[in-house]
Amino acid sequence: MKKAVYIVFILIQVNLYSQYNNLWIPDTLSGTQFNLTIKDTFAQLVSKGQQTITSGINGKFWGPTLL
Amino acid sequence: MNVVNKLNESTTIHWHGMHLPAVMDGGPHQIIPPNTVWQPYWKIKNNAATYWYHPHLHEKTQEQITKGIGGLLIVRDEIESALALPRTYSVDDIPLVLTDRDFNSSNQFTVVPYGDSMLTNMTLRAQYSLPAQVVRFRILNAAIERSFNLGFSDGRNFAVISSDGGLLNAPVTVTKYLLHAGERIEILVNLSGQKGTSIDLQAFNSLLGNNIPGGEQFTQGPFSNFLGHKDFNILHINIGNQTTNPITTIPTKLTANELLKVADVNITRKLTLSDSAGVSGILGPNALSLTINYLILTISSIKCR
Repeated sequence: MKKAVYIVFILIQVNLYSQYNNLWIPDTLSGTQFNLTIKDTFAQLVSKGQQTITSGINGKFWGPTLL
Repeated sequence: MNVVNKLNESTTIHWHGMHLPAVMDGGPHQIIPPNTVWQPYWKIKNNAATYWYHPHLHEKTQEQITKGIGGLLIVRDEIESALALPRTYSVDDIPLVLTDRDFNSSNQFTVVPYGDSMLTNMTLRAQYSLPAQVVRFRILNAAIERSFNLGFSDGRNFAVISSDGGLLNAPVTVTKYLLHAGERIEILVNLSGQKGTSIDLQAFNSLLGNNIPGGEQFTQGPFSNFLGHKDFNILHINIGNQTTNPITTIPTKLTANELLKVADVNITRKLTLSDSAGVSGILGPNALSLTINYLILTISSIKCR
């Protein structure tokens, strides 16, 4: 019994690990003048638990795509 | 550009790949102190391609990039615009920023050369839906060290159409492409007629030797990591409906690059660049270690081979 519970637990873990997250696509900015603000912030990068301290440009991490 | 630094420390922003005056470059010498604005400006002289911007502060670059600072620059021009290429951003023209990161037990980044987790556009285990037609990826290797031996899970062909500096003369069909840190490529992959199926864009790093970053198997020390010499997913792709005006074929010609001619070379110098994984002090031209303020060559208007 204990073994069976343990196997179920492992299967749940595997299932959680294999779950996909939707790809984030950076916003765009276009034109000839661009405003970029770099700041410290945080983001929920890992699906469970604490947010991650990040730095981003105009957002939580990374920055806009400049066209 | 109006670059506002709201960090608690200095930074710089370097426009990687941009052809611009040195004073606009944003290298380590152009510090933006906290709570100040830096306003570089330049005229775009680059060919159409994918470039990027990132911090470049001396001894802080790795830490500030690890925390996530950076971005892409897409330059367009008449030659690229005249081609029948996918160019609807986020629909059939997809930016992919490849990095690897290490999270500690509190989910915080640790500043290390190689991370244990693949992040695509800062997304763990990323998936995306794409239309059943020719799709373009603009891929940047923004990792600290790792190279990615790119390919698809079914081993299919894809066409490289652009490098760091602009369009190739014609698409080059490959099944793998080894993308090094800082490098960009644009590729086309044909998903026509495959609605309802899925494929994975992967790094086939088990095929890399230990002389390639990401091909090594460090088991201990600062370079040890979970992804070394392994194959892993970059993007799970679910193929869906075609868009209304799909691109369904890959062009056979792209541009006519003018290359420098070997016959025009008037001075030949030999530079040897080398690296040894994890060992500092032996990276540099002619096996000299790189030191700050050390000028190796002064090049005025000569043509280099």
